Amino acid sequence: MDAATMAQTQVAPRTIRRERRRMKTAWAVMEALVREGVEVIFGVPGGASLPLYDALYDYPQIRHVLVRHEQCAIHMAEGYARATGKPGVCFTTSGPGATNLVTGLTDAMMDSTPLVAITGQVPTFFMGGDAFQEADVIGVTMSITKHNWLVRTPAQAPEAVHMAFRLATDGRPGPTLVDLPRDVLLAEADFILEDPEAFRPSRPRPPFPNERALRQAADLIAQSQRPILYVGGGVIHSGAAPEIRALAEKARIPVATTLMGLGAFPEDHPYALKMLGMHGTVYANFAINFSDLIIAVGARFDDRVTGKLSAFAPHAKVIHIDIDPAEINKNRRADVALIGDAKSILRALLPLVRPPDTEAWWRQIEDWRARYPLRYRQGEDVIKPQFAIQMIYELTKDYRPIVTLDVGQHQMWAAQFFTWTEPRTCITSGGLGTMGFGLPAAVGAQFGRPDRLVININGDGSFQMTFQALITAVEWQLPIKVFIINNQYLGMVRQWQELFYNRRYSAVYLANPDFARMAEAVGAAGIRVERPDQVEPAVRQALAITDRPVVVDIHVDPEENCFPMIPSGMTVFDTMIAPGVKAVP
Amino acid sequence: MPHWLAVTIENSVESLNRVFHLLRQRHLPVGPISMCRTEDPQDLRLLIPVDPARVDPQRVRANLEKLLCVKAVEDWGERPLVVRDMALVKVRAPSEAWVEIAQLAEFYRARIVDVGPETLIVEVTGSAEKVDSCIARLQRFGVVEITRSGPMAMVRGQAEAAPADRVAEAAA
Repeated sequence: MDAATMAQTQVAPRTIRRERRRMKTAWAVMEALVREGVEVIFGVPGGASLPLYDALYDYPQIRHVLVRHEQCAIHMAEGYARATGKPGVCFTTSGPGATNLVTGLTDAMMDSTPLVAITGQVPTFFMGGDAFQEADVIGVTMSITKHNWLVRTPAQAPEAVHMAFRLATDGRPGPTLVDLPRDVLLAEADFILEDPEAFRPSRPRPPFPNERALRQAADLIAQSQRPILYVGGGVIHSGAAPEIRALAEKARIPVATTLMGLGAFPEDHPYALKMLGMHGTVYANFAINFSDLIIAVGARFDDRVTGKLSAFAPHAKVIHIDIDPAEINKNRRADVALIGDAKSILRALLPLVRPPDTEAWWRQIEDWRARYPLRYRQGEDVIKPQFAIQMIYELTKDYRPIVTLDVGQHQMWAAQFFTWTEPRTCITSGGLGTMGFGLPAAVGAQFGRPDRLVININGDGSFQMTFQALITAVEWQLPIKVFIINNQYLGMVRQWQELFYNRRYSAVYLANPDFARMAEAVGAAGIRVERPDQVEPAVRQALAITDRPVVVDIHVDPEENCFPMIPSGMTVFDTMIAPGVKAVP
Repeated sequence: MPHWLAVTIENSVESLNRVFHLLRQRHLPVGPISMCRTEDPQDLRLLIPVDPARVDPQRVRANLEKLLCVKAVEDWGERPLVVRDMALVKVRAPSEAWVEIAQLAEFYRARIVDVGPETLIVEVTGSAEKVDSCIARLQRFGVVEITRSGPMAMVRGQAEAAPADRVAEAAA
């Protein structure tokens, strides 16, 4: 199915009414999903979830995407959620089906991605007895879901499903899981089918920041001389990108984004410092570390951002805007904490803001920016990975693509060399760093946004972790473009071994298959690229193929390193811009 | 005097699992937890001592409040409390030691609640220090076994509702 046909098969607006019906629980679960507006489910059936799949047969308005491994299903659900803002949904069976979700659930928890996992479970009368394909999924996923429900009676099922959706998007988004024993799924009962909005988790909610706190924040901004906005993924979840831009422009404040925040502020804007952190730009890292005021919005002072925490931005006061009260004072003490939805808080704060004098600060930043641009040197023979990524960007930017990245060097180069301008266009595994995320996430994103070009930039190592998602993409004729930045190494690990382990390259060389032929074998198009002058035609050729996925295997310099780099646990004064070369503020 | 968080949760094994799982998962350094029933059989109250020098009580609270099974978290901080601990202490007691043990028990306002052929069970209630002290005095007779409730506590003198209701009122 091409993008246009997919757009036509979108589910019609749902009519929701309260009704009482007698049916089996599995059908009541499907009714609840319909009422939640679910249009696509990623999954694999199995023994315990058979009744659910039997019910699914009666709901053709919900598309089911059959995957080859449950990890693909949950990363697809994540990609769908990140591209659309709506919770992704996946189905698995009990035991191994459910435990294969563990990585994806953890990933979604770390990156605050809303999704609902629905797992089959062995019958209640077998539970606890080590039955065939039994796993304690509630116990296993307790710390990697916002909440999970074991449904013991038919009556609990619709409520659990609706609550799972509410909670997945309530406050800080995240994954939830509903575990459904087979006997419960098969039991018939009278169900009252409700409007999903009838379900609300009753949790204490911190009050919206009062006038005094907002005024304190505004005063700190007015008094600052070297302010910086530190913008994370929370801004994208909240839809607060316009407010961030308004604040930056009103107060003339530079903006650095985290990996998860890429796209929350347009990088073609003169106030953009691009990504900060371990592989962030030198000027973003200098700016935050020499700042006297950090306005953190939807960001959590992650170690990949701060480096050595005790030495991070030592002279800065902190205004911390976050929807999750547990983030306040977790890593860095906040001078003013504003707890709540970023968009609402910024809207309340904006009228109070008085621009500080940032003239001198901007001169300093422009000096850093001029001295330490992102750079690489492309020769004639070997493709530099940065060059390949920059070409992909230049040749696709007019399509405004949604880009999924996997994890490793290619991820950092893409973060650096793309110019991110729009929220929800950079989808990657930030917190957990899950190799294998990118390709299935691209499939999920394409299902969520059939109207957009979806490209996946991958590594040769990570591509092989969830390669089988390509088979699903072929089955659905998804026109996704997969670019493998192939350096025949687990490149980031190799880089660390080169820099910090005396070049003792232990278990990092990859004896790769021919990815283009692999792609062809499963019905996708495959293109192999080995010389710099082949990159542009290959990207153009890939863009011209719209009836199936394309894999472009780009062979790059195997020993290129990713710089700038602040080594783990070090400070901005240890920023390496080349092996043995440090950046000087 | 520890800094207490009084946490009212649903009375179930699953809820306890979730609370303990969270504290372990987040590596939140809390003291020994005691568990009490309340006026509502649906509820359990956990008393969680927190050392503010080691962890911000507000952070522990914010994490606990994310759990759906947590009905209310009250930070008792420095408020005046009634705190009671109770122990059952089984001591080796040949009949010639009975009088001495009974006198000791009386001194601590403890009671002898079981008389066996070779042992007595002493029930002692009071502050943790008093219970500690009573157990220490009983050691020389030979303590066979101790079970202890851990501290139970209540804020002195306020006529407001219990924590769960108070939070519900505040939310309304």
